[in-house]
Amino acid sequence: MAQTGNIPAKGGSGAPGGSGKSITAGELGLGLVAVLLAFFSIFVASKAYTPEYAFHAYVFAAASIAAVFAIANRYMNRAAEPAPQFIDGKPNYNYGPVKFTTLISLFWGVAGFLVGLIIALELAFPALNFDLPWISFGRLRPLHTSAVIFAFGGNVLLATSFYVVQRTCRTRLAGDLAPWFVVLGYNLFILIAGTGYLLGISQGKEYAEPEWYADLWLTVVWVVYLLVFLATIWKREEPHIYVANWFYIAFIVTIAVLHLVNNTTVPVSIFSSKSYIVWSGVQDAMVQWWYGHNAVGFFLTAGFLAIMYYFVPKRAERPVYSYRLSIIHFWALIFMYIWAGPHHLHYTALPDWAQTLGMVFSIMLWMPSWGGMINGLMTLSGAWDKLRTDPVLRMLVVSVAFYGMSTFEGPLMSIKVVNSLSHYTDWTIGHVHSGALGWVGFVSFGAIYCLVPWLWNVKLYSLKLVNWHFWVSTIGIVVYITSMWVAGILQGLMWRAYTALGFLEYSFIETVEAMHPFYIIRAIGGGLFLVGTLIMVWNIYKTLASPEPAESPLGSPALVPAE
Amino acid sequence: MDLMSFFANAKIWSLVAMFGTFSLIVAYAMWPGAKKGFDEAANLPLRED
Repeated sequence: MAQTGNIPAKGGSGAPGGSGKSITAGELGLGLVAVLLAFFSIFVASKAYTPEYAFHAYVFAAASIAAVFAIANRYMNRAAEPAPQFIDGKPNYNYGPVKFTTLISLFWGVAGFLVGLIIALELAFPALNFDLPWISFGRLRPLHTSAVIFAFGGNVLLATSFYVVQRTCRTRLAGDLAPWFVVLGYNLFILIAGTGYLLGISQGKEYAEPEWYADLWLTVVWVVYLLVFLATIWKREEPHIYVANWFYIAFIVTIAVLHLVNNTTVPVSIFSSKSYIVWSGVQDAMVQWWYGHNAVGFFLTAGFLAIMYYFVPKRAERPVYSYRLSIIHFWALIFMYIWAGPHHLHYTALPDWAQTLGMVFSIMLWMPSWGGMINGLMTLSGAWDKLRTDPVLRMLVVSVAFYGMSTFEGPLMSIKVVNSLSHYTDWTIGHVHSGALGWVGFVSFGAIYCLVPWLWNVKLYSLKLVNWHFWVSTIGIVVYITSMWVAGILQGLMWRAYTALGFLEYSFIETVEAMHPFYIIRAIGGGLFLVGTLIMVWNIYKTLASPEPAESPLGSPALVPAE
Repeated sequence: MDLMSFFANAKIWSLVAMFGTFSLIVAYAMWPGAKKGFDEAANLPLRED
């Protein structure tokens, strides 16, 4: 491995003449860094305090060695010159990393939804954890949330951001190895985080469970992601920076800041997975929920609004309803979201004024949120008939409707009086899933159904199957969220019920028992959502396994209006 | 000026700064002459190469 940099270009058939081919500084530098990381990881593994941490060090070592081989292999097979920026006057778009993240998002999606179904069943039937620590609810729950948000959602955001920034800037993605480093490095982070939860490695901070070494790795990957994105915008051929790109930049920059501040930890030792956060007490809680709510605001909202701003107009073949509204609601969202976190800490040790501030800003968020929803929905004005014929567009539009619904419900639940009933109940779970399944899930599925034909230049195997996916999953979501509404409100009312003598009317276990039927209904809803996703995976598999060339150069099927 | 009065003023100044910035953004977005440029920008994803 140590001599990777000197591998002769004997296999360089791609380079006519072959003599002009030389290794780039990036290939050499990244190869050397990978070699050093491999040795360092093996050293750490040999002295690790726990076998679980040693395992993670070996994973890093294996990934580094694989990176060295991948770089060497790529060098031997590539042409002497770097990939051209333009071919026949058209931008030579770099779709490799986009294709990779699109396909792997399907894998993580199915895995994450499946784990969600398993833990839903564990709540209804606790015996299903079989008394095994690795599949207990406490370990699988962060696996589920991270798999769906960061693995599925994150890869969809990587795929769409790298696609949209190239298309709207009309320029090839910046960087040669850098985009691959971002997409592979990000998925290595997911692997480390996910296996860590199963082995019992966790910071115990919601949505920020990965320990210090995984956090450091993600920081490196994320900074490279930002640089690739900004460098692509920097060399754009298009004078204007399209609105979707602003949302992507806001998402990337804010997540970087949130991640750094909420993971300011001091490790016990480099040979230990354990670390301690520098914040203490209520400050730690406030930082955690400043992070947590803005992960919703900038990962699950800003990032996916970027998807909406590109894919809805593109699919509907209509420009954005109001570009002015997009500017104003973008900045309003940025200015307000960052203050809303304290609503997660109502009636806690957090000062009252901070709780009220969080509540007020959450209510004000109604306006920019609905600005986005109106802009997305009204983009279809004059093209509503397409909803009848195009189930992909229907999926995108229903996602925007769910966005409007869950951003109405969220501010409502942030009002202190409402929160006193809803907090810690399953109503919160229902709210999160109307946003996650309805908004984030559906807008992602819509984008994937668009991207696969565009990237591979093929026709989607079956629109009928998309229709099935749409209806099965929509019914699943409705079953899920309605059962959780009823469960949550029942739970909240039972917790606060007093007898005439002032005693609590119900013991805690009675409220748990009352949840049982709703947990079964919820698992059915989640199961339907998973079935819908499997239909999509089959459809995408058939699309790529037996490809039919696309009719139009873009690959979007020419739809016949039902007239 | 002691630290507390600095922070007391900082609240006011940051409020003015943020509200001012946001007002400028709204003015930029609503500027009557900007309509044509925004219409072109809105059509950006639909143009093919």
